[in-house]
Amino acid sequence: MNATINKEFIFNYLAGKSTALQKQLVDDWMKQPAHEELFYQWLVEYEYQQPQYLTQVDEAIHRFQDFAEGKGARYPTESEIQVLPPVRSRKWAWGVAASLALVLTASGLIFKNSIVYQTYESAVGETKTLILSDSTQVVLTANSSLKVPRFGFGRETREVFLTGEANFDVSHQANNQRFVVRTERGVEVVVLGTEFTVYARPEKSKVILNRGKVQLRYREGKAQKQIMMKPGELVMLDQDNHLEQQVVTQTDQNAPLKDRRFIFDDTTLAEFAEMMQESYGIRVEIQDKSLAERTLVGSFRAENPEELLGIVSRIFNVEITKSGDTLLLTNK
Amino acid sequence: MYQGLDGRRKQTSGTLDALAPALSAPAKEFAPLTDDELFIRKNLEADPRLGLELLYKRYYQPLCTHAVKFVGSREVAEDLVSEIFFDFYIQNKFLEITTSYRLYLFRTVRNRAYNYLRWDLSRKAELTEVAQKPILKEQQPDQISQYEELYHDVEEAVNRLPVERRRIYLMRKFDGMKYQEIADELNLSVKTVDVQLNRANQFVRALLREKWLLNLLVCFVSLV
Repeated sequence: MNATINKEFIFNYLAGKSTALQKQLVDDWMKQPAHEELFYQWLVEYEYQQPQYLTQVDEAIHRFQDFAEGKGARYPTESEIQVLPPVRSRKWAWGVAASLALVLTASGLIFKNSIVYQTYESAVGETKTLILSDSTQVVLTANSSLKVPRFGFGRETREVFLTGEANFDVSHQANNQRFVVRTERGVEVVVLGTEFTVYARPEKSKVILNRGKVQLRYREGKAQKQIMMKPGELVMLDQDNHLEQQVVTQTDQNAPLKDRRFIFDDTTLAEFAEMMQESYGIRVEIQDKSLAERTLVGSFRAENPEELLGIVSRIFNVEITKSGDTLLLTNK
Repeated sequence: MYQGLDGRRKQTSGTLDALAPALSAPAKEFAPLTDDELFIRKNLEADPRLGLELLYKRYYQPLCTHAVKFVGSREVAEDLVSEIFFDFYIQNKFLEITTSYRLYLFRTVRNRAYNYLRWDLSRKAELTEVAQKPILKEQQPDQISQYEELYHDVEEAVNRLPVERRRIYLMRKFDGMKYQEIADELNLSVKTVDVQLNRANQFVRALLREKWLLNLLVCFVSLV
């Protein structure tokens, strides 16, 4: 019986060309979950094939993003609610919060930071290595500060506030608890187990991911945005939080925090080519002038020049062709 | 992957075979069917907002175009569909769903469209016909074919309108045009447009109520 039900049969059914008996067949056939799946798959196909009208999906996504940002505070997913402290300690925590609130009001919020947060600072020219209570290692570079909550850090959330630049080697917790780095301009890095660098100076923010996975959240104008980063990627945000580039980098020459890292700071592709020549004796040629002027920002860990070239070519969407000992970069 | 989807969206008159490659496992009739959502699922797990965007790109168009067959109005259809996506997001539905997202989304949209239409019919009904209270609970027809039957009836009712009246009806309901815009385009007075629309509405409703309001009454009885 079921053999008679195929895609054509369902398409006819959807088009209203089925007899009462055939509809009955469909009803029976659909009682099996696998058939139901199949039905909806065909339905999607049918609707794509014979649309009633064309929707503006981008606008719809835009509305969704607005919604998600505003009233649509999501219920946390299971992996986001990790440690639920026992009721008693929670009450206690509320007590603390309440009395803190009082103190803060009384002191006119001036001392808020020093009460709530432990602040670690590094002077100009100084690099500081910190181990947080969750055994996350942080290397603060010069002239930077990191604020860590005195209360509750690692219990319910792990959130720190960074000004300046730091490298984080985040410890993984058994409960997959997230580690969040916030910066002053609403740029937030949500860590999903990882090593990465955050650079948060007034003029721009940069996030460089060495391994693992992080989610970057930021505001651009009114819109809350977020992207996922993969190892080797760099994201830079300017003063208005425009996402500038998503780049990767080169060489341990002037490696700052760790070795085997390539650092680019507004390096043009032409300069990159020179560097490849100097460091590895690889001749890289870029014939397109506008392509040669495009710039790279960031730091990237690569084992060898080939890997680096591969990444750069992906970022700029260029093609690499080899002719003799010269590599030619061209727009795809 | 998205190019494939976009290409598919624009295609309005392609053959089935041309469409088939765009879906990852459509040709094998009884193969496991959820794998084609693996990418979306991974994204939903890692980043629900991004995952939702992917779902939009894939299913928003067919969901709307399906819902509009029931409710007859683009605006309403898009609202229904958006609401489903919003709920899907804020309630983390994707964590519970064991079927494909497609199945969940389409089953939900059909159900909501069905309920909306019946609510709409009852709302406009005479007081003597049906109690003026909202449907308290979502109802589902016992048979899947009732969904198809309902929207086919809607289509037929609209088709039975006189040509000019149908045109006005579609401009209003489907294209969401204002009375004035319709009047301008068809060289009619706004009043004529208004009268035509009223008659069209009454006609469509009368046809649908005849068959579907009985179901509705049965529902009320069962709720009491």
